[in-house]
Amino acid sequence: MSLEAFATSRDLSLGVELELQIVNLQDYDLSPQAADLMRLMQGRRIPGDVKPEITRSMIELATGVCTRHAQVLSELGEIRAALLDAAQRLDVGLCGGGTHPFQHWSRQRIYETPRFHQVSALYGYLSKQFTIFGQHVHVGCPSADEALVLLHGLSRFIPHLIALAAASPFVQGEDTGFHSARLNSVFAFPLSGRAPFVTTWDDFGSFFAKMTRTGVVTSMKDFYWDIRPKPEFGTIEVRVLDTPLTIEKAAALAAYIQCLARWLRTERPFTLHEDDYLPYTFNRF
Amino acid sequence: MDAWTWPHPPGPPGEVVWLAAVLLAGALMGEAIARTTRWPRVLGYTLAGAGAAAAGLHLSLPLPDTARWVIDLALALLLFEIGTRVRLRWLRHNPGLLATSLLEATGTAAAVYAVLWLLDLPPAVAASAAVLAVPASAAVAGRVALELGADGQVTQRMTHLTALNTLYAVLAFIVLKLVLLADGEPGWWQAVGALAVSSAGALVLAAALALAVARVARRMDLLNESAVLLLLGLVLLAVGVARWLGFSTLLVPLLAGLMLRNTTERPWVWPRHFGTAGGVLVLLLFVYLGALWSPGLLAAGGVAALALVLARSLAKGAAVLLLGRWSGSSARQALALSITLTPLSAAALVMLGELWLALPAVAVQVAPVLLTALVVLELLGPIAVQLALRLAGELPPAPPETR
Repeated sequence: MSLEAFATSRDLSLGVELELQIVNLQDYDLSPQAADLMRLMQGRRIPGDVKPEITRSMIELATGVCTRHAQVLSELGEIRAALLDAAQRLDVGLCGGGTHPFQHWSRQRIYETPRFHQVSALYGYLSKQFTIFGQHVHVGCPSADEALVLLHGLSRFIPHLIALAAASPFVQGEDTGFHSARLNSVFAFPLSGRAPFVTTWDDFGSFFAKMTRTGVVTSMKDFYWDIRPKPEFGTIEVRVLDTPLTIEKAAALAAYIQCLARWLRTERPFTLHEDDYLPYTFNRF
Repeated sequence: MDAWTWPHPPGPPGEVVWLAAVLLAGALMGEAIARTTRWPRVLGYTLAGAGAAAAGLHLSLPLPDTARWVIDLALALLLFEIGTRVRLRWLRHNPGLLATSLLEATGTAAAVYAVLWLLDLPPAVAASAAVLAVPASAAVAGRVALELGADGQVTQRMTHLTALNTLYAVLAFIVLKLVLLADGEPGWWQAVGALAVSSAGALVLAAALALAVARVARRMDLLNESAVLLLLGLVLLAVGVARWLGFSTLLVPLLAGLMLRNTTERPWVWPRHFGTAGGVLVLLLFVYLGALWSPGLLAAGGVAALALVLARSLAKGAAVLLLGRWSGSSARQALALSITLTPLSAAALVMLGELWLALPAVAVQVAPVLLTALVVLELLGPIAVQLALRLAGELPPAPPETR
């Protein structure tokens, strides 16, 4: 499968995805009820959409294409209201936070779709440990080359973004000492980390072709990078944020990324260099 | 002189030996079922009782004191636990669920009354059996879900419907008993008054229990062993006092659990059935329930019991399926949920015991029908609940780890 063409999108437009935890209201442990929520969300009019995630106690909401902070906030509010209404009919709770403080990974159940089962077959227990909750922010880019330049520019700010969003100190009932322990679960995947240092779509295409030839990847979805291009939307997707506890914070983080992107795009404050990545994995903590 | 004399001449084995035998038989059968089949352990407990009954050791009414206490206490623990898992707020947010609960309970009573009346049983007997057929089993639902690690909407709804229909049945039974005692004289005001007095009494006692548990929880970690024993002691004390004062031993723990759940958003986390001690009581409960049948009983109540079981299952199934969509279930979940309501609660046995004391003439006629139905449903129940939860996709995919 070859790399798809990079769609065009409005420059600096925004899209926000939030992965949420589904918990029971008895002892607040994760509860595998995504399919029930999906059923009750059918036919509701909301901006954006709601999707299942890899394990059955996760659900993902996404705004449509937004231009400004106010729009992001109002769309998140509308989707949240609809989701909460459905959750109340099921007597389950929805919450933010990058990890569930005390769930046990081995008890998680894989959501019934061919893709999730395939991932589960490939990665085994890692996919159940992937029951972690992040905020993804899409930023629109006018061209594929611009997207890659923006991607590597934003990489410098990954530590800042991680620190601002950190909301996962507890994992499996233990205080980890990290503010964002969620990222350590992402790290376990072989294709996590950073995108290769290429700044043109042609070069990226040849990297992708080499990777597919090795049989390791079949689509962009197989990369779990901190920031990855999303050719289908014509965006780059920042994926390092923990899901914050409020939608207000989620909207603010998205707006901050939008500001950074605009600053990088218009002022070009520094030249990109592969050496920028030397302390990258350390700074990611 | 004979050196081999006993220190004391052996008399008949005492209650303790019997209790130990019951416990051993239950534990062994439970283990055997768990190893050789994929059915829940509780089925083994009931089978052990049924086997003992087949060997001539059946329990008959009025129950011996030990059995009565064990059943009262075990049931109190189970009702208290199930009460702490019922969020009344859910019924407000989901009126379809409340309607399901009301319809399945009233529908069950009406259907059972109708078939027993058609079978020419006296109205007082049919009405008593109808009320006693309402509650679904908190014990089976709780045990099987716990043993299999079930989680999801059907499990959650099963818990709520079971707690609620037990509550309705207990309240309806108090009224029914008074009406029957008044012997048809229009004692409605009297009945309402007496209902008010006994519910108020139960409510006060339940509030005291809830408060005491909340106090303990504030000071101690409820997973800690001594805290668990303290909780167990409190529940048992409340049941003892309820029995002493003549309040319903079913209502007090159920209401206390409901109060705890619905007055705070705090989670109530303690070992299921209060650890090993409570687990023993629950095991004994299942063995006793299995031992309730005898060939004579089967012959006397068989046909009517079968009619009761069918009418009951149909009524519960129809109500749940009819209102499934409104309450937000898929068709498959509604079907599964209706099946989980199959087992009949041991609460029916406790109420039958009370009826025996108040109106022996009626109770004698209710007993064969109800006890046969109880044993049949207790044997079918765990398997039905397991199949239903599997149908609903709420069991973990791999066999659960041994606990």
